[in-house]
Amino acid sequence: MNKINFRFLKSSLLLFFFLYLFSEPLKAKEKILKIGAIPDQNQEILDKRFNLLSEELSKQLDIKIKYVPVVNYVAAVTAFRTNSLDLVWFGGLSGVQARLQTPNSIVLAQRDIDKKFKSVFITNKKLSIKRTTNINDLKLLTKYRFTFGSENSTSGRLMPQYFLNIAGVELTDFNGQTVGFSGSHDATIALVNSGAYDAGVLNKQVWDRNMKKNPTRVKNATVFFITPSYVDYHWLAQGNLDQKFRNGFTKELREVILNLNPKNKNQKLILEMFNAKKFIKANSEDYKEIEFIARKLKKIR
Amino acid sequence: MILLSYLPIFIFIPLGFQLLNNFHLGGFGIFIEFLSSIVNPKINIEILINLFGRLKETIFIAFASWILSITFGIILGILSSDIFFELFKIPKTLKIFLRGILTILRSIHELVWCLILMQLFGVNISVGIIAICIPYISINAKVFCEQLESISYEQYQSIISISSNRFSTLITLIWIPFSDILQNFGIYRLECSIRSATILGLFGIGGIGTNILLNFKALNFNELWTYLWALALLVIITKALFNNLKFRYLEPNKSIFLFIIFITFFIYYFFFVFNFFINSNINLSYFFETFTFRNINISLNEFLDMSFSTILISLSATAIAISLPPVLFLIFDNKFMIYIFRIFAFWLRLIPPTIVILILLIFNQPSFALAALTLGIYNAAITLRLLNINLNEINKDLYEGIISFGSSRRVGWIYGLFLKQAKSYLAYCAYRSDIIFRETAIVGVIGGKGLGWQLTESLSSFAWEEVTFILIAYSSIAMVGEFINGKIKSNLN
Amino acid sequence: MTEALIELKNISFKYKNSYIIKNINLKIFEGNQIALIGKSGSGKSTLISLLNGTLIPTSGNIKFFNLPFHKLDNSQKSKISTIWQDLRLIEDLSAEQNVNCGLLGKKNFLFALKNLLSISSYRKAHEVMKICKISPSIFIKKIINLSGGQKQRIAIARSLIQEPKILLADEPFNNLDPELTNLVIKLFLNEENQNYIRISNTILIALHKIDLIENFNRIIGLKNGTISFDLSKGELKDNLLDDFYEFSEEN
Repeated sequence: MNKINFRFLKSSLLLFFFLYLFSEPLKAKEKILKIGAIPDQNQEILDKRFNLLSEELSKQLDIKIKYVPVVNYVAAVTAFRTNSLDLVWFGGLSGVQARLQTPNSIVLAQRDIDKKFKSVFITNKKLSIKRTTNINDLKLLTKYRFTFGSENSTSGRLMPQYFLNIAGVELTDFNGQTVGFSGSHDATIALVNSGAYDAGVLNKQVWDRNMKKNPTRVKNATVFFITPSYVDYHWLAQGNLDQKFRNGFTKELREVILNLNPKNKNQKLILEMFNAKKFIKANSEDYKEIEFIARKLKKIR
Repeated sequence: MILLSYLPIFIFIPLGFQLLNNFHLGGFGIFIEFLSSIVNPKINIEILINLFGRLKETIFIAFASWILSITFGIILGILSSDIFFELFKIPKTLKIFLRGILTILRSIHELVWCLILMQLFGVNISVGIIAICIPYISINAKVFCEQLESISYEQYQSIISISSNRFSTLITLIWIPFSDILQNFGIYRLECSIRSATILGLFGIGGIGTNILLNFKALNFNELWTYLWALALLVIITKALFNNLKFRYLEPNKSIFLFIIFITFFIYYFFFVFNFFINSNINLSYFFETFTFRNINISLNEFLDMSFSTILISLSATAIAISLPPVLFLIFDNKFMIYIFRIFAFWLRLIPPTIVILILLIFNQPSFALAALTLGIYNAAITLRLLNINLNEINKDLYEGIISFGSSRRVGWIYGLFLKQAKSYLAYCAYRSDIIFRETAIVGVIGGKGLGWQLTESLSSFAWEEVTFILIAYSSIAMVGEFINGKIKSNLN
Repeated sequence: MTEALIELKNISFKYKNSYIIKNINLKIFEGNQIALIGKSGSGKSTLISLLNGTLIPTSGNIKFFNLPFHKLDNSQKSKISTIWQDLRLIEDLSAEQNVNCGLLGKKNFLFALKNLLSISSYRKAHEVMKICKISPSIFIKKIINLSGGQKQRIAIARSLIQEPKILLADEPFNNLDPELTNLVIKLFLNEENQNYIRISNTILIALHKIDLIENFNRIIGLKNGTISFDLSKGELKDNLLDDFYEFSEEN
């Protein structure tokens, strides 16, 4: 009796296993606007932010929208080039890279804060280094273990590396002859805060937000230097959206994004999650400087 | 033989020295937090839903690549075997050509294939399946082909003199070797597929690996362990389900049933991937336009240096994988400790080496030693399991005999047990080192050194010339490794 | 005169610088029941391998059904059946599966597949096994688990079911007791009428014992790789045999 039951259990388990596998659907051919974003922060934050935005856009534009998480910056650029994503929230560098690889893409918008974006160098409090406003003091950091964010982050790598170069610091000058790449801004905070790295650099927006909302997460870290400002994040859309959805769709999409309004409860939440008061117009000319620096640092060839 | 198994342990001295040099206590807190989360995974409805969705993707990738790679592996294994060329009287040059292509395909790790294919086709489940399939098909083909060499010339002659149909001859001759290898190796490959699918997930292809990496990066250890436990369960359950299948002893109607299921799945997966190929619009002109060798930004010196450190990582890791298990068995010769090691080894096999190296990076500077150690220990976990299984299977008479003379148990262990096993163990290690040479790519990509680091940098700068250059280097290192191992193996036999 | 089924012209076979077969001329006609005798090492097995096309002679010409070996198609090749001295069964398949292998020459690929999956059983195979006194209890046993005598009979059954034009056998009575030996000899020489299989009337059996040779109608003595005598049953004298064996014993 027991034996039979065991066999029954096993075969039904097997059957279940196979059915489960078969249930993976072949790709649906529906028209869906696929939104993506560079993974500059913890995934749960991004999930909330972009799912909320997708709902809002879907409601206003009356189409299906899906947010597709991406694991790294390179994947986001590639996914955009291979048409797997229709609309992507890129950083300065990744956006320029994507645009060079996808020539007919369109810059839709940026946040109000992206015009004057800054990075912040942070250190662990144990080191007790004093905050400075002199860029040449960045030399002090070479004694320590130092981490960037992601390899292709504008505020977590490109611009900080540029400013370090201005101060006369090369990446091989740091302790251990190399630097780390934490992968995201939140990870940089966590690693410096815990002491795994002595110092790091990240997006000032993320730092400020953590200071306000999660003081425990940053309690062992302190600001060392705040960089001069530069242009950063922007929305990039495929050039073929009008054909894919309807005439004038790209324009509608831009209008909806630009018109997100803090007076509406839902839209206010979205803007808050983007750390912005509103979205403003942007065009590719704004990013010439980023491209120039990226070419200099060999991030664009 | 014993010397050969034990001497490599001394690699720990320089490695340990470099590790200590780079060690710092900065990340100790995080590490404790990581460990304490083992027993405290976070479970709620939201995570479970997420988990099942991700699990499904991983299972799908793993299962599809398993079935596709086994099937094509069998076909290519037959096509590249001596017996096939003998039977159908095909020129030998074709065989050398086919085997050469297979060697090149498997010299590059599935992760690297995945990174390349992702550039070509974008991020998609099918890309993951294809990336795993390419080296797996080639590895399976090699193993199947080697198995076919066990068919004796006499048997071949006897059947060929009876049979009038070459296909009948072929299938009659290969039936037994094939069902044997499917039993042992085939199911082991499923486990490998699950592991590879997880590793590819870490690089964005989807599935449980993606969430493991994201949670690790966010330092959400409780959630991380939810996923790691789920992965452990997945491996254990699949093993339990498939290990009891004994193909050769199945009743005929059951084996036909299984065969039909297998074929159905094969067709389904094949068209799934095929469908993707047809629908993808790949833009090769983009690559050709941007491809200029002026863009190469690595000096010859740097390049040689990186290649050298890649080889060194592989060699040190091989040394650890060979000698760590016998050393552990020798030092801790009681059952309890061995049990502990087995559990430890199980987790090490399960947690992708990429995650292990990330954990170690918390309190270590990225260094050559760290990469070698991670890779070495990960592979030692695999050789340890093999050695343990083999030791349990052999006859213990000699061991008991030696102990009854009054020698110590350790001496008894070496001469009575290990010596009997040493040859086959070393032969397996030689095979394993093939894999280690390929796997160096994974640890390199994440945080160690060697060519892997340069590969990520070049990929993230979209510098295809450099990527091509590095791939050729990788592939040649692995091929030379395989060639040397082939020589070692044939000497051992 | 009728055509020879197999014709050997000036055949020599060299292995590691020494001749195992030297300059043999031989014609095998339909209806020949040949006993090939000679001491071990006299080249019997090599000759059989030459006769079934497994070995290619170093010099000389062999014609099978008046054609060189490479011009035979597969179905013609399968008309020559061999019982090997080392049997050459597939050790991990069952007795019945091995016997069925003998039918591969006549059946298609599907048959081979069915046989390996052991889906269908063939009456013919059962009958042949019964004729060879293989008890049904070992049908499904693997060869590896059988005794020498059982294996020998399965190898014989595999050849008989092939229904060849020419049956070559290399010491087929090795593991059999006298009673079974008698039975098998009768089978080979087709002295008992069988309903289920057609047994070839052309056979060549290598023997090292001479006590069985009176059953055959042609006796060939092989010594040091050359044919020492080739006589019909009536021509064979006892003193010739004595000479043949004494002489080789001196060597």
